[in-house]
Amino acid sequence: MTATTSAATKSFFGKRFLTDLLENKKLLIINSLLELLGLPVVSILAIVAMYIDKLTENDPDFYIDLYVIIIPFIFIAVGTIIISILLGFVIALFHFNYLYRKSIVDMHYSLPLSNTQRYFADYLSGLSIYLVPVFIAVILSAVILAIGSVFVDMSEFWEVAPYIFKAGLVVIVGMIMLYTISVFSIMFCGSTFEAIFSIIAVNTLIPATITCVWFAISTTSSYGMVGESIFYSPVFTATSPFGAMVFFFMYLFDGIDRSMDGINNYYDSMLIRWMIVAVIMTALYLAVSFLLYKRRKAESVSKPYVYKAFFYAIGTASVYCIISLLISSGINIISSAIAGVIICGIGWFIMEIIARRGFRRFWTAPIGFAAVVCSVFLVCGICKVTDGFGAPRHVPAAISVESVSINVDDTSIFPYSVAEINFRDRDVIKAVTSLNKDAVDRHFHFDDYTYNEIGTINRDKDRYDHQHIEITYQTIYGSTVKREYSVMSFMLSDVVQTVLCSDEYAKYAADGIAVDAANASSSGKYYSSYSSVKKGKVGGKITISNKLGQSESSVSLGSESLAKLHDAYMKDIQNMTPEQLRDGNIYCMFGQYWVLDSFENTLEVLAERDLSVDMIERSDISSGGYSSNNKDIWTTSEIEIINSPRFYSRPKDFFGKDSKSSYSRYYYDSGYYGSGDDLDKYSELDGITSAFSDNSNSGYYYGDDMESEVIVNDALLMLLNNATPIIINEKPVAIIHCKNATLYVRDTAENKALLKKHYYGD
Amino acid sequence: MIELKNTVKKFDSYTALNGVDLKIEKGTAFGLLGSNGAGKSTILRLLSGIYKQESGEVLIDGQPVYDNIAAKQKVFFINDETVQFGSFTLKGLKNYYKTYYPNFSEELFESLRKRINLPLNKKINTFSKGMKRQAIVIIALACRTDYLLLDEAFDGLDPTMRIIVKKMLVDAMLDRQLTTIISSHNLKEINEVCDTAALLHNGKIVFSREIDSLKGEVHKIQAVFPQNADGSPADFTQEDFASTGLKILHFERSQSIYYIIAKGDEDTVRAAFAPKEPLLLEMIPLTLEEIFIYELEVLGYDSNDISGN
Repeated sequence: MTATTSAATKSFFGKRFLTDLLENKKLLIINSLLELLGLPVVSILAIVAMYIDKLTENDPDFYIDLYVIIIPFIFIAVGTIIISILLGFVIALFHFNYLYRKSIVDMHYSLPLSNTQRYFADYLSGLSIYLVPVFIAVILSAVILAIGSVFVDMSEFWEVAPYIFKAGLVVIVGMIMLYTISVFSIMFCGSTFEAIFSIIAVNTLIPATITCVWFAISTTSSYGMVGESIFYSPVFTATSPFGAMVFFFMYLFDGIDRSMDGINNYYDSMLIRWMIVAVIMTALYLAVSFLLYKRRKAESVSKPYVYKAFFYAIGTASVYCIISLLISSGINIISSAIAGVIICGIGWFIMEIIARRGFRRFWTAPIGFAAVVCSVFLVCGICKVTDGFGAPRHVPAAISVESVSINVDDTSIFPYSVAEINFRDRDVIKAVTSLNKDAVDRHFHFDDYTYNEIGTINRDKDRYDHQHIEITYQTIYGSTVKREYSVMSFMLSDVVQTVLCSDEYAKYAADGIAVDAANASSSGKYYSSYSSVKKGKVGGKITISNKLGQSESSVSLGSESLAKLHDAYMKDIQNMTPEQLRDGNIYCMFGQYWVLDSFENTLEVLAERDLSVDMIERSDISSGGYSSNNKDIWTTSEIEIINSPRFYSRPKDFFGKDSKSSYSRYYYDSGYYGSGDDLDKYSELDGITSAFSDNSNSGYYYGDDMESEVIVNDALLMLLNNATPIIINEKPVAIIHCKNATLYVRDTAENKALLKKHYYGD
Repeated sequence: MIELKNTVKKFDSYTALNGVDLKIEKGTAFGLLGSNGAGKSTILRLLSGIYKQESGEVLIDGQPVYDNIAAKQKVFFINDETVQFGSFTLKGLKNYYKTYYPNFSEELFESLRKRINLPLNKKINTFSKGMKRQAIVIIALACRTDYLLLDEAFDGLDPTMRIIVKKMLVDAMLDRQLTTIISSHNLKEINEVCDTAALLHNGKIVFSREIDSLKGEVHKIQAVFPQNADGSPADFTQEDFASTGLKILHFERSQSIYYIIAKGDEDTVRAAFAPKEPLLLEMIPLTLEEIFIYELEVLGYDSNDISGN
């Protein structure tokens, strides 16, 4: 008997679920129609676009302005998708309408249901009405695309499909979150206006408050903090539907690209972490809603706010956002604060009048507002006094970092694209966290460090080559921590060595060589990743040059040879020791990728093809002429020799108390280059670290100042052959800009002798 | 059986029920009487599991009601609103409630519907107020619950329909021992339908008794007493009668005629008056409405006082 009763009472959940669905069938129909006009239409348009694309490809005379045909339909489809997503909060309002409509509360509460059954049945039936049409639309779209692929070559689309599917998952989770947050917001309210207002307020204020708090931290002279990093953090992206939307677009426009390019893609792990955090947050909103639902009383209906604390929470968040935005706008802080208080005050009292339905006990409203304003200023003050709540001092422990990426503005350290690698190598992570700690320590304990003080005529003390770096950590806790600093380039030595000797860089560089080669072949097809090159079994064209990017020779390789070269180069980098990197000579370059003398496997593949690189010769330095003073002396304007680097900076500018971590200014010392008289002055600059020669940009920087008459003699040619783009924490005896390459002359007796010989002759 | 034990219900700082004790036996037709804001609807909402009491107990057949599906399944509550059903058709509303009440009888529903001739497939918001009320009453009866709670049940019904609906209720009470609790300001109807009634005032029970015994306990007395020796009319005060142990609800004198409302059975009243040798002693039974008025008058709920006269 008891079992029967229990089963009967349990079945009420299902009954409530079904009656709810039936009661709201109009919403289901509307949502279904919107969904059917969304994704399936987009799928049809995609097939049409691909079909026309193929026609155009096969017949150059065939022309249809695709966008004119498709764009109106795209607008309709996207519009309906947006409306159907926004239906989330309408559905929530309909399913829990008895919480804010007095006339129907008795009907719902008197039914033989427990609060738990009623809540979950209502929640799930609403969710079904919201999501079932989406799933139907997805299945229908998949069917349309499958049918379409029978008639149209859609191989390119199917390559992207898994990533689109993942992006779709983000949308689904975001939709569930929107619906759940809407339900959560309704729990606080007992009237229609407040229910609608709360949904809008909560959805807006969660991301807005997080952003404003973060910006307050990162702009309160907080060393190394990066404002925009909040947009990569699950704290922002996984806590609200707006954040989910930001993440979706990030994934769509950046993540998919990275995945397709085969670059070590941190979006995949970011996506998993995002999913976990977003699902936890949604579950949290659901659980809190349930607790509030159980706690609220039926008689609360018609009260504007069932939980008054919620009203004050919304108000405080709004006041905080407005005041912090005005203060951080850069206008005078006092006038910004006063303007903020006035604006907030007007809004506050309007909301109080609405919430109180008049002026009942209105004397408490100014007190509440004053308390809120004081608390906001208190938070701002604490943020200022504690230097962003101590956040700038926080450096993630290496053990808590899952992966790290590092970007150095100056491409003489790394090529730009190294920033896209998300290193999981523990040594790289340790080197980067150690660099980070060093930078933080130098800032917060500036006086504990001493820097070389070499006072010379008309010069500042403490001259250093410095670099602006950006570090992005993905932690094992799912957070993304972004920092930026200016550091002296010698501080990067360990990072450069560990990065360039890591397996991940080895793969990145080997892939890069193979992809460049495949794209340089005459097939005309573009390959974005090594996996697509390998999958397509395509060969490529390898171009080999000397370290000046000169004396190019190229050879076509079949797919097997290209794969062999790829594997050989990868193996060589993997086998490379930091010493080999530091002291090795450049044998040749594959585009931007250097090959050291120690790269046995690569050199073996080249030898099999009879490929070799000659020494730098006079003919490599073209466009020369005879000296204007002495017609027997051959000179060139393509070379610049700097004995004392002209660009430098002072540690106090980026490590000092009021320094900016993003400092990137260089002092320019116009009088120190290109003359034998300056041979001794290079020592004023501390160690330089550089591992790449940026062939595309160095000419741009130095071109204007190039000397017109550098003598081209045997000593210069020998110096060029000895010079290297790789210098790690060394003081070069000279820097040579030749063509578009930057090469460093190591401080050896031979090089010094050659320099003298170059300037003064034998 | 329905029991309220020392039940307290508050709405913020306002105490709607202040330690109410009430017992309603199964099969009773129970009338809830009371001034406006006395707590009648609050009791009904507590019994239907809508409200949760702050303290005390609200039990149906020994089980607490709030959040208890088994107890709530035994109760059907009809409140004084009808707008909530507007979006349904009668058929839709029937199907809606049928889902939750397993004892729902289609046959009973059909027979009741035919008696009052309500359309099945028209939206209820096109119905008149009386028709809406009829619609929910026949659904409630078809749900065949043990307890039926009606708040202002006959509001909006025309006299003919009132009779029909009352008959429906009485039939259900006779057929299956339905316990009906009716809250109404219309005391005549309570008088007609209910066998027991409770009077509520300021969140407290003033009395709870069978209506017949209640009527036998309160009397309107007209009495004339012999003149004094000096020829002046007899001069008795309320206290003179109260001192005999009678509870005087109302006392009025016009010339030599005394109009008194007093509590107590007939013999007690007569015994109390006997020492004063009345020339005339007439005892008239009170209507429920009069009992309501005089009981509340004692508690300070006097129309003259309230209107300021």
